[in-house]
Amino acid sequence: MTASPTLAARFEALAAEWKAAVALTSSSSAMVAHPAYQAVIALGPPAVPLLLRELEREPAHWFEALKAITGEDPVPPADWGHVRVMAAAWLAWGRTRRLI
Amino acid sequence: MHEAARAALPRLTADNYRISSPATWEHNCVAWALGVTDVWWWPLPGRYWPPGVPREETIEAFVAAFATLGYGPVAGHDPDPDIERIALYAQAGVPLHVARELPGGWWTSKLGPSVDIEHATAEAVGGGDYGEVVVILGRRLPG
Repeated sequence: MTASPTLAARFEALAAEWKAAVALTSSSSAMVAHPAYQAVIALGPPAVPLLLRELEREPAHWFEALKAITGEDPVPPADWGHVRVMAAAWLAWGRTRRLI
Repeated sequence: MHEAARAALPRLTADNYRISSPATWEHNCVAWALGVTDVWWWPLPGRYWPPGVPREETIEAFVAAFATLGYGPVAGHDPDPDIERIALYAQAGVPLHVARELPGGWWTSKLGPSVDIEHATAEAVGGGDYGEVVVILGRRLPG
């Protein structure tokens, strides 16, 4: 699945804005509440492949965005906080659905 | 990185901190202060938080989380070679950062998903985005 160039550009801009804004933030709540993160969620299902590719490149914390958009969560509570494992679970979820 | 750090943490100067390891999204300041490098600690569902401790962004919940690893109140402010101390920072009662004292008297902080730094005092990373030190806890080192 390929996102439109416009959507991809919008996503990249929001992702870059968010990463810069939370670069020194440990609070996961503050990360998720940031307007740029919420704007990524508002992009909806077409952003899911972009989020997964971004997650594949770097395990930034896109988990809440993926959960909010898809209504799913492949990460069991026992793995909460284990970021590489969480990213792997989402990537496996995406591959199963041919989203990446 | 230096520019962003000094903008957010205005007490940092060229002389009172140094970068000590590369950036990673795999752990945060809480984990780093507790000696953990493969887990992101935060009370938000979806991140690690010790079982039985309320998932609340309060000073009390953070103190309770640290107690699960043996940290408790410490007397005095002078370094003690037998005690490992951590400092909790908050703003308006909301925890925002944790740092750990190093054996030489400096402190170490992981800056969110960015680098970790060593800083001369606990207060050096206060006064900005992390608020101020609100609690210092300690645990006796083994041996």
